[in-house]
Amino acid sequence: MSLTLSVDTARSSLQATSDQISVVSRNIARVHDPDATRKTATIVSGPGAGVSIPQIDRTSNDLLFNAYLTANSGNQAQTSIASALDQLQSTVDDTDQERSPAALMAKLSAALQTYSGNPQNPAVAASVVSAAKDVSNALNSASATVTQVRQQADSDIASSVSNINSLLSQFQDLNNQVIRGTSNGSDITDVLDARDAVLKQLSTEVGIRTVSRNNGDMAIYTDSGVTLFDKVPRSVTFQQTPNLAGGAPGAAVYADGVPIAGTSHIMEIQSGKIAGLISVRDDVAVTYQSQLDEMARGLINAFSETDQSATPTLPPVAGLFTYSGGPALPPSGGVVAGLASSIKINPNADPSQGGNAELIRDGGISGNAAYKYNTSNAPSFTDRIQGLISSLGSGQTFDASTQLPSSSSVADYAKNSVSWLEALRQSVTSEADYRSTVAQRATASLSQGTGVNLDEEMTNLLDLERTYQASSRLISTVNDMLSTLLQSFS
Amino acid sequence: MLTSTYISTASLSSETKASIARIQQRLVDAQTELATGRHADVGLTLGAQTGVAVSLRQDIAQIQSIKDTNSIVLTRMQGSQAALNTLATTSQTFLNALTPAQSDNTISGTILQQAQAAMQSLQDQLNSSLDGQYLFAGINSDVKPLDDFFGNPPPASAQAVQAAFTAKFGMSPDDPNVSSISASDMQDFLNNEFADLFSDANWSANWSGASDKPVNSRISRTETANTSVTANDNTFRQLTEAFTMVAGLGFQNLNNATQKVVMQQATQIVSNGIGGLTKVQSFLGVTQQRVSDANDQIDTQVDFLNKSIDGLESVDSAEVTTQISDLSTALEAAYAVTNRLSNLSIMDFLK
Repeated sequence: MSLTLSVDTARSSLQATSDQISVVSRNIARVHDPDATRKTATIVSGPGAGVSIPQIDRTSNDLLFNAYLTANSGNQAQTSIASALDQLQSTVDDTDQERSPAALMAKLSAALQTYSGNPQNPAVAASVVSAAKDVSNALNSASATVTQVRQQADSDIASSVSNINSLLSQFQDLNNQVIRGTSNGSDITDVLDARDAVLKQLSTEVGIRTVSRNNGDMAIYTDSGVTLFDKVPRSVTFQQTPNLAGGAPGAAVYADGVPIAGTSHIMEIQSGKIAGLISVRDDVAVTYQSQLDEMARGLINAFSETDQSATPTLPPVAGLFTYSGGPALPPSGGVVAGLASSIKINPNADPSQGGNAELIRDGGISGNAAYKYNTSNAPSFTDRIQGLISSLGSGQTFDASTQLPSSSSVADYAKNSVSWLEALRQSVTSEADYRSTVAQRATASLSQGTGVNLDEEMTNLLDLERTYQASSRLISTVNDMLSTLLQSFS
Repeated sequence: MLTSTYISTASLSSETKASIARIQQRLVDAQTELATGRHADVGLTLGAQTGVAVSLRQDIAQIQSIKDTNSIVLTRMQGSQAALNTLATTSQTFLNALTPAQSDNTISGTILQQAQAAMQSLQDQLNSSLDGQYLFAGINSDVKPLDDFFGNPPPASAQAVQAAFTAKFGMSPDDPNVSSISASDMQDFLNNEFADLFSDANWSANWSGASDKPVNSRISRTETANTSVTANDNTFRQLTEAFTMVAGLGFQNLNNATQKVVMQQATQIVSNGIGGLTKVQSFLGVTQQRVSDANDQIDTQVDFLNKSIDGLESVDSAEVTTQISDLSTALEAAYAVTNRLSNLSIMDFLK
C-alpha cells in the first residue's frame, strides 16, 4: 500500500517538475522582453499524497510599476517640448552663423552705415535693400517655422489621441480576460503582462494613474482625475485644426466629455506627450510667434516715414518695410498677429521689382511726395540714412505679454528674443535630461524587480532536473522492489 | 525564490547599451568642440547669455562698418585738404604779386595774368572730385560747384559781372574807354554793386551749384560730424571776389589811380580770404583728427568685443582634449565590460 503511495507521490512530483520546467522555459523565452515578468510555479504539498502546482505566480511590484508610469509620462512631456524648441532654434541658429533676425538687423544697420558713406551710389543703396530683404525673409521663414512646429504638434496630438483610443480598446479586451481568468482560476499571468504593457504605452501619451479592484478589474484615470477607462473605455476626442490661426490656441482634447488639455485649467493633464505638445502648440510657439510679430512691427515702425511738409498733417506711414495692411502703420500698443509672416520690402524701393533703392536716402517710399525728406534731391543727403540708423537703435514700446522687456530698441528686442529662446531651451533640455534619467532609473528598477535572470532560470533548471531524476529513480526503485516481490512468489 | 540582490538579464544589457550611447554622444560633442574651439551647441550652453553673444556681434558689425565709412570720409577730407593747400599757395602768390604792384605802374599785365591763373586754380580746386563726387559741392555732390568763368559762351557768373559793370558805367569791361572811370566811381562800384554779386542769394544763383549743406557722416556710434566744406563758404566767395575784381573788370585798360583802388581792394579781400582758408583747413583738420581717433577707438573696441565673444563661446582646448581622452577610456572600458558580460554565460559552464 505504501509503495503505491510512493509511486503516486513520485508521479505527482514528475508532473509538478515538468510544469515548473515549462514555466522556466516560458521565462527563458521572454528573457529580453522588457514587458515580461518572472513567473514562478510554487509547489504545494497535497493533503493526501504528493505535490501539486495550484497556480502560476507572477512577480509584480505595483510601487515600481507606478513609479515607472509617472517617470515615463514626465519624460515624454519634457522631451516633446525640448524637441520642438530644437526646431524653433533653427530660426536663430548658431551665433556664429549670424542668421538670426537680431544678427541680420545688425547687418542691415551696417549696410545703412556704408550707404551713409556713399549716399550717391545706387549700388550701395541696392545692398541696403538686399540686407533689408534678408531681415524680412528671416522673419517670414521664422514665422513659417513656428507655424509648422505648431501644426506638427497639432497633428501629433491627433495621432496621440487615436493611439490612446486604440490602446484603451485593447485594454478592454485584456481587462475582460483578466476578470474571467480570475473568476475561473486559469493562468492569467501573460494577460496581466500584456495589460501592463498597454498601460506603459498609454503613459507615454498621457499621464495616468490606475485603481485595481478585487476581481482583477482595473480602472484608469488621467493624472488630473478624468476617467479614461472604467469597465468600458471612455472616448477621447480631439478635432485637429487644419490651419492654426497665428496667436490663437488650437482645439482642446476631451476625455469622457471633459477637456483634459488645451483650454481647460481645471482638469488639465500634467504629463505625457499630449501635455508637452499642448504646451508647445498653445504656449511656447505662440509666445515666440508673438515675439516675431513684434519684431516685424518694430522694424516697420523704425523705418516709418513722417510727413515732411512745413505743417505736417498726414499720419506716419510704412517706409522700406511694409506689410499686407500697408502703407498705414500697424496698430500700435500690442501684438499684431501674422505681421512677421507678411512683412516685406516695399516694391517701390526694390530694384529687382522695378523700384528705386535710392528712396531709402530720399524718403517717400510709399509714393506720396509729402513724405520726401530729401526735397532738393541732393545725392549726398545723409540725414534720412542717419535717422534710420539711430531709429533702429532707439527705444520703442513692445507688448509686455511677449515675455520680453517691453521697452527697448528693435535690435535689442530681437537679441532678447534669442536669449529667451535659448534660456528656455537650456532649462527644458536639462529638465528633459533629468526626467529621462529618472525614467531610465525607473525602467531599470522595474526590470530588476520583476524581470527574468537567465542565470537564475538555468540554475533552477538544474535543480528541477535533479528532482526529476530523483523522482524517476524512485519510481524505478519501487518498480524493482515490486518485481522482486513478485518474483519471490513465482 | 526572490533573492536579496537580483538583476534581470534585460536590464543588464540595456544598461551597458545606454551608457555606451551616452558616452558616444558626449564624445561627438567634445570632438566638435575641439575642431571649432567653440561650444558644440552655443545656445544650449549659454542659455540666456546667448543674447549677449548676439549683441556683441551686432556691435562688431556696426562699428566695423563705421570704420569702413570712416576711411572713405578720411580720404575725402584728405582730398579736400590737398585742394585747400593748393588754393592757399595760389592765393598767397597772388597776394605777394599785388603788394609790390601797388607802388609800381609797369607790371599791370603780370597782375592780370596772376589773377586769371588764381581764378583758374580756384575753379579747379573747388571742382576737385573723388570717385565721381565733387568734394566742395556739399550734399549736391553730383553737381560741379563752379562753371569756368572764362568759358565761352560766358557762364551766368561772367554775365552777371558784365551786366553789373555795364549798368554802372554804361560800357562793357572790354571797352578801351574804361580808362575814363574814376577811382572814386570804381571804389563805389566795388563796395556796392560788385560786392552784392557775392551775396548769399546771388552766389547761389550765378556762381555756385553747391549746396549750403555739408556732407554729414556718422563717425562713431554716437557722433556725427560735418565732413566736408562747401564752395558756398564765405572764404571762397571772398577769394573769387578778389580774383574776379582783377581778372574780370578790364583791369589792363583802367587808369593808374583806378587800378590802384582795385588792387588795394583785392589785397584786402585776399588777405581776409587767406585767413578764412586757414580756418576752414583747421576745421577739417580737427574733424580728421576726430575720425582717426574714432578709428583707433574702434580697433580697441573690436578687439575687446572679439575677446568677450571668445570668453563666452570658446572652450578650453586643453580641457576638451583631456575630456576626449577620458571619454575614450570610458568607452573602451564600456566595450570591454559588454564583451565580458556577453561571454559570461552560465551556458558555458553547464556542460
